[in-house]
Amino acid sequence: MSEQDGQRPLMGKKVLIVEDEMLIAFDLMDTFGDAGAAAIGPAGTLEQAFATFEKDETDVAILDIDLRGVSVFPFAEALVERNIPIVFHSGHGTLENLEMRFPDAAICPKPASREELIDKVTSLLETPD
Amino acid sequence: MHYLEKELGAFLGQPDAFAFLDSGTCDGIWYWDLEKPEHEYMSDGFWQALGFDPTKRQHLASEWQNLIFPEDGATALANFERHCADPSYPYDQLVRYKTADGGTVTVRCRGLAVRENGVPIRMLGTHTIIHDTRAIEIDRQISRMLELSSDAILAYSDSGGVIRWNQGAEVMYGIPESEALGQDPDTLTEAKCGSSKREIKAILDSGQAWSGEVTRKTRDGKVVITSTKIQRVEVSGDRTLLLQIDRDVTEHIEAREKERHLTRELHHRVKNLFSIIQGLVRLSFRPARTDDELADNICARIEALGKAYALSMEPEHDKTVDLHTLVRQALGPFNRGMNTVQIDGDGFPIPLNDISPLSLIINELATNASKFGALRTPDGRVSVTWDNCTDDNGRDMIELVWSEVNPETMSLNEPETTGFGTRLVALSAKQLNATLNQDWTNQGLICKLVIPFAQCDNQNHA
Repeated sequence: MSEQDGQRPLMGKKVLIVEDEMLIAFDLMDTFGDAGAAAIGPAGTLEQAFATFEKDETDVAILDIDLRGVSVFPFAEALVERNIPIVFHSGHGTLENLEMRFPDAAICPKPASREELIDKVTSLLETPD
Repeated sequence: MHYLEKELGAFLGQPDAFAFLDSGTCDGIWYWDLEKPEHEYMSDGFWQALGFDPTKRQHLASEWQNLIFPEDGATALANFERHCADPSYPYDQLVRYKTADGGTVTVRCRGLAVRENGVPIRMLGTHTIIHDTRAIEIDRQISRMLELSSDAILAYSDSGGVIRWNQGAEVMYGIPESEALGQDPDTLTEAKCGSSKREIKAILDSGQAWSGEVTRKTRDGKVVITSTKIQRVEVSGDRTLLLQIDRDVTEHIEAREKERHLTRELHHRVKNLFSIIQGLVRLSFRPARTDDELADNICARIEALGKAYALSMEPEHDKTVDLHTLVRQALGPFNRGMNTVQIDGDGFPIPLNDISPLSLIINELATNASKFGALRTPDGRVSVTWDNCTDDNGRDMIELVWSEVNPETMSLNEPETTGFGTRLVALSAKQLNATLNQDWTNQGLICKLVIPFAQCDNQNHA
């Protein structure tokens, strides 16, 4: 795994994971943990996402769009208001209104490789807002 | 000589009057003064055709008005008014008269308004007796059938709007014929279509039929999608009418949209499943093991996921799967017969979202049992039972108990509690919002899983 050989590009960054499939969620936790980040969560519901966000500082958030049939968009809008960058990690990668509603968000269609996810997060954090 | 007869003689000198008479082999001619509408000249043939002595009749409109069937008279009057207003609208209909001997005769009555500065002042008409009434009867039946059709069937002219609007149209658009008459049908139904009016007109004017989907609105604003067919037909001479049939395909379109939605949903689930498998494989590498064991574990888990997915895709499992079916299928590979696996519990509907984690838990427990627990011994057994219960807050729960029985009480290997299998069970329980209690005994594992049953009801996944 190249990111393990190289630097830990997300050292010290706080990455919030919102994902209802626990296997995916913990893989994401490991992925960002290996990249040096502090992975927060995972939050499996909209309520958990808001609660975790209130409690813990967040630099960037990885969001599944469909949380057991509930859209993550209200939470995504709260993040946009606080200028927290977002990566949508979803099978709904082709939702037409996603880019319109969240023009600054990155989209990582499932299934995504670890490198893809880390690259997207790294470039979002590098972009000055 | 009657003044109208004299005047008619002069009028017949005009070419279009001759042509008109020439085209109708008639059973009588009438010529009506629209400025003094009580006066109407009727030819001898007119009366003879109806069996009357012409010398005993007067040149008054009331003479024929007393003999025509009232409903036919009303139709003729309506057509007369439209023809006066719009020269392209033909005055041409079948009417019934009472004859002198008390019988009935059907007459094709046609007429042409004579206009002065565009204002109708006279009306010239012909009568043709229809001897074979079978054709008329068939026409009447077809006309009635058109009324009965649930399709909207309409006829209209370019300039004069709707002249025919069947019951199907009244029902489909909630607009009565009386209000549709004279209106442009597309304006009336707020038609929107992928083709422009000009494109459609070009096709119709070339003599071809146009067909396509049109989105319309009913009177109360409801959207109706119609499969529409329009054809231009010649009525008489160079006058044309447009005939249109609208079939309501709203439900078909909605079904098509639903199918597209389901396909999108399916794609999403498949992509999600790939992502889960990815996570499963990567997480299985921690801690590292021998390649063979790793491959076996991963394959067994993918198999469990695949089966759970297949179960959720069966058409009868619209929103839920029965717990019994789920457990039986998950334990299938571990059942060696001879009551190795006992399953007992009432049917409970499990939401589709919960199938994967529940199947993975059962797969892990069974895998562990065959490696370390009761299923490792020849006579060992596993029973899976469940019942409903309530938690401290009175919420409905399902308590599922996995218990291993090992009659030989042979030494069982201490199960590992740090491996990915253990983590997978814990993660899946967390996803189910369930509480998990595991107790290792000399018989094997006793595992108690308490799952909220309420989430089966408010399952709102599309």
